[in-house]
Amino acid sequence: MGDNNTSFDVIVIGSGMTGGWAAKEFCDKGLKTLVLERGRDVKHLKDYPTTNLNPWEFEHRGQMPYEVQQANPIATRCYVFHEDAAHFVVKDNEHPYVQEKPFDWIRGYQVGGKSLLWARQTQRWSEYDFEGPARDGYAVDWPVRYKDIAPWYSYVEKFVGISGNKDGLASLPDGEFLPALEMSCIETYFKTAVEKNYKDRHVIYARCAHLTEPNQIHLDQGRGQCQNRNLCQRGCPFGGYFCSNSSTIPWALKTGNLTLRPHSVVHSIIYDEKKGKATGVRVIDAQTKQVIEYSARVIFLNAAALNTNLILLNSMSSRFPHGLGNDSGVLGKYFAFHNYRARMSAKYEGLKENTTDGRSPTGAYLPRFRNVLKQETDFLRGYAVTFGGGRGKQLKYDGFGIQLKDNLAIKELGDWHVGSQMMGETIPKASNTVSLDPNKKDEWGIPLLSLNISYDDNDEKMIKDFFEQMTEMFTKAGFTDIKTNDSKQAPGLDIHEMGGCRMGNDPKTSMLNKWNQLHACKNVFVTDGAMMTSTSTQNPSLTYMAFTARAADYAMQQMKKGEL
Amino acid sequence: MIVNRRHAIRQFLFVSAGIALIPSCMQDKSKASVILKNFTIDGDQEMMLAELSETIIPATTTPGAKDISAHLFALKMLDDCYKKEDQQQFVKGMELFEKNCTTQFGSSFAKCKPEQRNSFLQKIESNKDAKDDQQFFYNTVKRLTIQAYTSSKFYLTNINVYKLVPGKFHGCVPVKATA
Repeated sequence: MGDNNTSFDVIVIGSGMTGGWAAKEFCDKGLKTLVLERGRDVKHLKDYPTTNLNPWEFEHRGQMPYEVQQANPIATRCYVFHEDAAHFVVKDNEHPYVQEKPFDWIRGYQVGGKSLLWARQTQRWSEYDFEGPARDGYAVDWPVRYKDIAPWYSYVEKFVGISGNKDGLASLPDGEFLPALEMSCIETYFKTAVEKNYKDRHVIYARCAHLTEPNQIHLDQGRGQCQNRNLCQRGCPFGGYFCSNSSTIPWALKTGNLTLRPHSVVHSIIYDEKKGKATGVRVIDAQTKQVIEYSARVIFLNAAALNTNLILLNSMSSRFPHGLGNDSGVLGKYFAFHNYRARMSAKYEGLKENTTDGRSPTGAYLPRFRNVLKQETDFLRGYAVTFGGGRGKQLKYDGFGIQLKDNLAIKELGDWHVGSQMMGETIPKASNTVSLDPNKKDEWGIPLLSLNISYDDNDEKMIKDFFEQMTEMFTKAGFTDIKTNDSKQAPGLDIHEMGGCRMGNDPKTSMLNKWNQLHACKNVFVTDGAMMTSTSTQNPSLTYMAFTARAADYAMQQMKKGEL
Repeated sequence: MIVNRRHAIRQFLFVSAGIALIPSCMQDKSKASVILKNFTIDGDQEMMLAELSETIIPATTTPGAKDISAHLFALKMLDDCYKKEDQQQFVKGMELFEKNCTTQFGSSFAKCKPEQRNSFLQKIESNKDAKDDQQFFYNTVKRLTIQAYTSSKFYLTNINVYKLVPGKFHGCVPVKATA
């Protein structure tokens, strides 16, 4: 790992969910790999400053100071921006961008990226998801099918460690699972109620990236059993959930083939017109602003969806005046996200004799049940649903003195409170775009990203359907005080933004082929959210990791053959 | 200034019963012991807040507001986490609170007898939905005192036990088992 070495077999841009995986795959096979991360290093265990703090040890008991909230209206909207994890979230003023329409861009600029912060929810795509665009006539056809990705889901699931039940559902394929935790009483109760009343709706344990029972491969990573703290966003001292920091990056470092360079802002990918391929990456040191060029045979772009688009758009040459590989004109277009606006809440007066003990890192989940086998509603596609609930102590806040003190010591439990969140597929459209602002630049001289992304009619109809269906299901389950809530949040707060560099069979209407290679520049691969042709409803990280491992394997085969 | 404040904050996070921030023989009664950024109170007002918090959540056989310096937590939260209009209304309401108490009982709240304090607070409690400054002040002090108490180490290790490392999750247990 020479400090002055600028030549590598592979350069990976980004050290998050997919960058970490690319690094692991290449390093495992002996390839000298440079991982460029624009933020600081975060070393497992060492750099988790809040992970062992009790509630009373936080200066403001978790709340962010008023001044910080005022200075960071975007970050403040993110559920994870509290005293215990705000240091892993990008501050608004440090990385500005242009909102042509409202968009909350939530970022984690450090080694590990948002894999430190994610909700660890993991579901496979099914055949119905990959077939979606072709069947329903939107976006373009995926150049792959479930059978192409299935073995790679298995591959990554085993290393990551995924807890779940074999549910036997075609709409949500089973995976390689560690034992599931228990569902709570209220989740089991709701499951029974739903499945009694609806033949095609299922309530399952929400599969998650937690080591409920580690296998040898996890112990070999230095990770141990999840202790159900639910403090994952701080970084986990047990390595109980999957993140790059506890898993793929240390694994890659152990091979001796990884050079990890934090504080490395990627300006552009260098394209050699004579050779007809990319030859390297132009980096601006985040702190010194020094420009350094690194070279490699193969480049993996894993900077997260929006930054991957930015880097490609900013990689201009006379061969590619509109961004690297952008012969189709499609780069930056057909950007999409998940519709997370709709929520339900209710209470249940039954199940008085039982409660939960402890905290579960997951909950229950309803796979998409709308338009699965055929188009049936007045909107395309559909939504998955989370479901969870709990009981709290019936504290009273009346009075003062001994009366109040006694009220705060009440042990009796109140009613069950339940909630659901809609996770809706959105339809990628040419009008939802990301582009380079023509004038504004950031402190590294890179054009600001300009976002023109909004909801559409399909999204509004889907929300309406969710409210109707969930209200009906809640009512049939005997829940009361049923409330619907449309947060009207801007796109982006879902933190599942994707697209702009979509996969497809036809180079005229897509950027990437079925191996995630740029059609027009075969030694550049994109395997993060930017690759997504459609969004489906599943939490996407597991799918990104599977595509990354598959593309890395293909890249290495091509390199062995001398094709790359 | 910033260094002093951080020092003060670190001290009162872990302060236990009886330890003041400034040795009492040296304390200037007219100055508060905490350094606030966005509003000011004097030593008498700080002392009154300690008494008010303690009246709201008193020490019994178990710790009360003074034991956990709840009033200092309240001031910190007000200073750092509340907007300017609320801070100003709090100060106005505090002054009105003291004025009304003096009018009714002839002395500030801190110097009132327990029966007088109880009677004064009963009246405010019965007016819970009033929108005046005094109500805002009292509701804010009560809310922050409760927050200090229910997030304190004592409460979370004895009354409503919080486990940093639960280990297991049990999805469905009889209610009695978790008492």
